[in-house]
Amino acid sequence: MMSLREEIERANEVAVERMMEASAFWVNVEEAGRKLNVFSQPTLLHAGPPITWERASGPLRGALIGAVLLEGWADTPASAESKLSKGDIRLIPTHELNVVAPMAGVVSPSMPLIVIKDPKYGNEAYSNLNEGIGKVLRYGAYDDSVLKRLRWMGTEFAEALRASVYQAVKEREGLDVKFILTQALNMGDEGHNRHVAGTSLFLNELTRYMLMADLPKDVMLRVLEFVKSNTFTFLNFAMAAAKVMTLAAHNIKYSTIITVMSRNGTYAGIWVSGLGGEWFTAPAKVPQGVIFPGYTQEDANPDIGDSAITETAGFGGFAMAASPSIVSWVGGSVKFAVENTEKMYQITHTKHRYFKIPYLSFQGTPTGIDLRKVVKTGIEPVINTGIAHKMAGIGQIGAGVVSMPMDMFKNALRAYAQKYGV
Amino acid sequence: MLRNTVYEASGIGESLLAELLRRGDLELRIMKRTSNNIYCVLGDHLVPIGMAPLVTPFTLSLTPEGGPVKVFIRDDSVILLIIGKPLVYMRPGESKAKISEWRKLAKISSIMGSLIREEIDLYLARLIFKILNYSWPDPGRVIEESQQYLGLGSGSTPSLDDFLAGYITGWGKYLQPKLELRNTTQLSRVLLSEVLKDRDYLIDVATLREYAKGRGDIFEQALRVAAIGGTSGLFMLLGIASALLQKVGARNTLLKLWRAVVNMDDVER
Repeated sequence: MMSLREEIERANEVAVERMMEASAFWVNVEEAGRKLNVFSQPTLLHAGPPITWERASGPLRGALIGAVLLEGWADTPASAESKLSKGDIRLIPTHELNVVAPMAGVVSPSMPLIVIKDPKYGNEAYSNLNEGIGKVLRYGAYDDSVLKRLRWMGTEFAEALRASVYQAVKEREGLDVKFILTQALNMGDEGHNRHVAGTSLFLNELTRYMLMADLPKDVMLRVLEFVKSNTFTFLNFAMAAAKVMTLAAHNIKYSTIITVMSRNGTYAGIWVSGLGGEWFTAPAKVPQGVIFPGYTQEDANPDIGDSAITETAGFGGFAMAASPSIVSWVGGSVKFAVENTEKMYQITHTKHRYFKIPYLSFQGTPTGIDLRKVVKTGIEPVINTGIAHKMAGIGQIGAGVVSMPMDMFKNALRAYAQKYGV
Repeated sequence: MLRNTVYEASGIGESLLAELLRRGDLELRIMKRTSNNIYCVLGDHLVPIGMAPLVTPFTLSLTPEGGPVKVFIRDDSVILLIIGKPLVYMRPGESKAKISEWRKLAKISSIMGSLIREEIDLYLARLIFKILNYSWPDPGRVIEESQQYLGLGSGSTPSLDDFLAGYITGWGKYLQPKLELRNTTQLSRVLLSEVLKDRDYLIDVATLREYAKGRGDIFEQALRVAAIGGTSGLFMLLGIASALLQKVGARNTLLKLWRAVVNMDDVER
């Protein structure tokens, strides 16, 4: 008969093994309204744990207003706000539908979703498409330029991607996102806030498939120009890949491995593998970092977005030592980046088999956050993140580093002890 | 490693503060330096100093933000000077109230105890299980049987000693054990002799004993104890949980707690 200690160790070994071995192929682009069975009534998805309009932060409110306008459910921001505040539009956390989306993470039925498949463990995860930086919906901006871009992304851009990925599926199983991620970590990305290598590698593949799809030259040029000018294009692919990896590790009895870390701009929340889909939350912290000219740290909203799924899967902030250049974007020094990665080994189960850090002699990244170790050591998982303005309608004002609040880990451990303790 | 330089402290144990206020300043001899802490001596008392030191009536907590106690660290001594009003670590005092929260304590102790991984510590856990089992319900016999294993286990305070520190604190003043402290590390010898003299010496552990009587959030306090050192806090937690489960006569829960940490088949062997 195994001891509880051995049961936990075995469960964590299984969970992290599945997380590392999961594959992640991009196989399709589908409209959210067709892919997800929740839009029969006016519904929007949002990043992080559940939240109401009343408690929603500025950037989340801005993104929700923008999505209502995009869907044509209201003609003006004021009437959109009125519908949202009256509860006419249902809000659902993305993670509960296997969707991950950066920052506000708002997904509406007409938006295209990237479909990432893991044939090995039979899971699928989804993300929206990345709009770029600055004045964009995911940071809470919703003016005409934002909506115009989203409309193009939902039509010509999505159709071009769909036609391209169809070629990839015909040729092989789809586009291997995990392979690109593995390469990108060796080329100076950390996979959360730096995707210069990842997006370039992605573009290499995409160009070939666009040619194979025989897309019109002008469409191809617009698509290539858009992807080339937005190094964050690959972020959403990496996030959906991370989600499909963590899904493989989820719902393992006894496992103390964290399978979701996310934030909605008001609260941060986590899931624990052995505790199913129960959210454990605490107030989100405000990221510190490099603020764009014209703004100050005081303008920063508390942490927001599903993108901490990258750290949950063993890259992003946990792989900072692989990405010395990241410090020019999020602040700090190269020494800090290395120290941060080294610290994360203290709260994780193992070193990743495929995600390697050249600077640390190709050591695997810290992988599989162990709830018990976080609480025992007092070390909060550190993530790289974008910084949104706290007012609705403005957008991104910087990028930086933030840690996940300890209280939610303690709350989760309390529930875990209640369920599994003797 | 703490360097030879000037630090500031914001937290101070009540006994050390009383001595500092009485004398105005204090010079302490350094007994031992570990990777994160310095241990000094004041009379026959141990003074733990560090960023997150063991909390005792003689502790000094250094803080990067600055605090009201100036701390000058040299090669072989530490000088303290008080310039403001610090946070004071107080002994919780032992109440006669009944232990009511032992089930919760067993649950959280079993989960945190699952972090014990070193072979020597697992071997030790099996030994402790056996001792607790055949010594039931006599705490004096537990101490007596543990005597031969003093100094066993990992860390600068060996794990068995940590277990005993928690166990003795858990029993409180109702248990007056005799322990021969020769066969262990110098640091552990001094710590255990403090615990033998003063059941509130390990303030976080003693506070947990009192919270088990419903005086505070036992879960939060158990985590504070578990966080002490590398594995020290885990064994202290198991020690105090064992004492309290013995006190309330919860033998099955006590055995289940240790079976959560060690493999039953190995114990039976």
